[in-house]
Amino acid sequence: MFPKPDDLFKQSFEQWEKQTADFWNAILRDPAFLKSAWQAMEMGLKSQQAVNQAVQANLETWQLPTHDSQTRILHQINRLQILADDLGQRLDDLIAALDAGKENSPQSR
Amino acid sequence: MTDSVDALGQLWRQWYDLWQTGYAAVWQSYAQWMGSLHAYHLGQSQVGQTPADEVWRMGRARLLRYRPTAAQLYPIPVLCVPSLINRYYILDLLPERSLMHYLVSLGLDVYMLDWGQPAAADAGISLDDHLSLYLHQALDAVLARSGAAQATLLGYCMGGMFAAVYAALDGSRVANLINLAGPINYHDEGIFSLLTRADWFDADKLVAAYGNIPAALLCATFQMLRPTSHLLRALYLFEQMDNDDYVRSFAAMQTWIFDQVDFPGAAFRRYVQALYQENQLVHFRFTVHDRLVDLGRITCPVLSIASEQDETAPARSVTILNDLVGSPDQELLMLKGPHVGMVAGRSAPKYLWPPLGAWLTAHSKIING
Repeated sequence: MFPKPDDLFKQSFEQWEKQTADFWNAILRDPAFLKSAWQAMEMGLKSQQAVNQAVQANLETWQLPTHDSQTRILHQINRLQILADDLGQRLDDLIAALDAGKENSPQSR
Repeated sequence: MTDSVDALGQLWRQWYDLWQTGYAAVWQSYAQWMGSLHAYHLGQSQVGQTPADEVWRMGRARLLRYRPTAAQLYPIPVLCVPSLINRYYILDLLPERSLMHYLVSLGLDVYMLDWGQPAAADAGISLDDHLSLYLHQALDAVLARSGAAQATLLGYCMGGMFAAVYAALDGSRVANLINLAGPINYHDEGIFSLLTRADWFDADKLVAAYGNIPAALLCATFQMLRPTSHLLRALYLFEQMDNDDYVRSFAAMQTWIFDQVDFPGAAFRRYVQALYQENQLVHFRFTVHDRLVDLGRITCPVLSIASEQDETAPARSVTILNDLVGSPDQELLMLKGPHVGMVAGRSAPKYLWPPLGAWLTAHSKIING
C-alpha cells in the first residue's frame, strides 16, 4: 500500500534536486546577479594581476626572464617550428614531384 | 543435566548461524564493493581505446587515424574536429559507446584532430591560427595520407563551428560537412549567451589575468550550471552499485568531465568577443586572417544534428546553419537528450549512430580496399 522507504526517499530527493536546480537557474539568468558575480570575480582577477605584476617587477629588477617574456619567446619558437614543418612538407612534395617528372621524362626511358 | 547440555548446544548453534550469516553478509558487501571498485577503475582506463595511430603532430595538436577494420574502405576520409576545451575521446568513450569505433566498422577512413593541452606559450595562438594553421594542416595530412582530394569534416560542439568556417573558406577540400551540436548562432536562449554578455563579461580581463583560461575555471563554470546534479548522480550510482556496466560508464563519463583542457587565451578572447558577444558568424562579419567568412559559400552536402534538450548548443543555434549555407543537399537530424548524452549516452548507439552512419556512407563512394 505504502511506497517503500527507499523509493520515497529517491522520489523526494529527485523532487528537491529539480526544484533547487530550477531556482538556481532562475538566479543564474538574473542580470543583476550576473553583474554582481562578475564584479566579485573582477576583484579576484585584479588581485591576481597585482601579484603577477609584483613578481614580474622583481624578476626584472634581478634581470631574470619574466613569465611574459618566456611565453612570448616560446610562442615565437612554436610558430617558427610550425612554419619550418610546413616548409619541410612543401619541399618534400616538390622533390617528390620533381622525381616523378624525371622518371616520366623521355631521357629516362 | 541432559536438558542443560541440549540447551547450551542449541544456543551455540544459534550463535554460530548468526555469526555465519553476519560474516557472509559482510563478505558479500565487501566483494560487491570490490567489484564496483574494479568496474570503476575499468571505466576510467577504458576511455579512448579504439586502436588508432598518430600520423601527424604540430605543436600540441596531433592527428589520429583509427585503424580500419573493414575489408573495403570508402574513398572519402572523415576528419573529426572536437571542441577546443574538451578531450576528443568523448566520441570514443567506451568500447561499446564509441562513435569512432562504429564509423570505422562501417568501412570509413576516420581521423581525429586532438587539440591537446595548451602550454603557457600557446596563449597567443589565435582562433584564426587554429583554423588556418592547425585545422588546415591536419586536413593536409589527412588528404596526403588517404590520397583523396576532399574529406568529410565532422565537427562536434565548438568543432562544428570550426568545420563550418573552414568549409566556407576552403570549400574545394571539403566533400561533406557535418555539424554535430555545434552552435552557429550565438545569440540564443542558451545559458552561455547570457553568461558572456558584453554588459558584464570582459574576456580581456580574464585573459590578462590568466593567459590561457584554466580548465579548472571552465570546469567550475560547467558545474555551476547545475551544482546539485552531482548529488543526484551520486544517488543513482549508489543505487546501481552492483551493476558493473553502470559503474563502468559512470566512471568513464566522470573521467571525461573532469579531464578538461585550458582554453588558449587569444582564441578565447576572439571566440567570446566575435561570436558570443557580436554574433559575427550569422551577420556575415566574421573574418579569419582578414578573409570574410560567408557561410553561403558552402555548397557541399550538409548534415546538421541538434537536440531539443541541448542547453549548451540550443537546437535553433545549430540548425540555423542549414538556412545559411548554399548547399542544395542538406539534411537535419533532431535528437533528444543533453549536449553530451546525445553523442555518448546510452541512447546514442540507437538514435545517433545509425542515421549518421547511413548519411556518411551514402555520401561516400565505395572502392576496393
